[in-house]
Amino acid sequence: MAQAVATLEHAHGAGDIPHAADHADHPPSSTGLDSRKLLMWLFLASDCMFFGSLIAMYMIYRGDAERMFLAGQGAGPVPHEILDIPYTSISAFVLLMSSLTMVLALASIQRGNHRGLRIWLGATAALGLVFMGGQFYEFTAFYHEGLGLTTNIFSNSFFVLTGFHGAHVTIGIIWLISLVIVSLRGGLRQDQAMNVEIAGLYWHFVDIVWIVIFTLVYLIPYDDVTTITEGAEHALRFIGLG
Amino acid sequence: MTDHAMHAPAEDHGQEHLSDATYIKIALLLVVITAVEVAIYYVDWFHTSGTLVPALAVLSLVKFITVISYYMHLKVDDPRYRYIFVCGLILAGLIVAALAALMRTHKIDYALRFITGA
Repeated sequence: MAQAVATLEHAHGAGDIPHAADHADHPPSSTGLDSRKLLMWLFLASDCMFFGSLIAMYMIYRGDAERMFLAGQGAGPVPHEILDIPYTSISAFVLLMSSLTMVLALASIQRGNHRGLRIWLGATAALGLVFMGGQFYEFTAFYHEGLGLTTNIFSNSFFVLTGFHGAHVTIGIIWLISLVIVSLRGGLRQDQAMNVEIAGLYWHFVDIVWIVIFTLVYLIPYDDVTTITEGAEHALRFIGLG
Repeated sequence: MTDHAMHAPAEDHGQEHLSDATYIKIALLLVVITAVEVAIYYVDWFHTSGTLVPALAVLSLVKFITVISYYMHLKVDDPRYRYIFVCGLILAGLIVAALAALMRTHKIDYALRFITGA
């Protein structure tokens, strides 16, 4: 054991030694990476594809819905009539702030500050709840304005995309609250900071997905959405795949 | 334990972290960029000049890269995590492009089919 610690000190400096205690619970893998963290990154990479397909469908269907609106066809409100940019900007701000509190929670446990960990994790979960409350309000308002899940293809793709993102946020909130409870029971030691780091990766991913959704769904106008999908088609043709 | 010691230099021991003050500065930067995004949405010139989409794309890309680099620590973490995530992003981009091309080149009027229930 002494030899192992000495080797670690030589390789990483004394500051990294607390992390080495993780190996008591999780032995080193053949890759040299933490298997749980590797799994989380693989999951996040696959989730990129999941959200990529949902975003693509939204962009295509939104264009169709707007075209039908201009042609005097179709049912229900269309994006430019119903999306509330200032309101969603506040939601985006709340989620960005939750990323800050999440990273501060990780920094706290790495310093052995358990009170700070619980405060910042609680703040992150609270901001997540505020975001979800905002989404619930937005969905309810849309419904009262006549936009249900099956009203038109815009509403269909919009609710599926933002709903799945909301489901991710909800899972993240449950995860964060679980960590707070475990910490309160004394089950989250400083040398188990990786548990918080993995939850943090998931939470930050939810934030970056919202960064993309906020821009593509809310800010980019219909005409430009059409231009983007046409551009994608041209790009594929250019590389011989279209 | 000897094996552990032999593999130790390649193991994942987390990464060097920034100070709380730096994390707060990064958050402020992200908030400012978001405010700029919303502000330019309301400036007609960006709509009429065709610069809205490039501007929004650049700004959101900066936010995206900032979060994954500093909050998710990809900038200082083991590069293999970066490769995995970038592969996911590339595949996601190809999926977006392929779906867009599929829907457009086959000239299928999904909107009409949706309305008529066909």
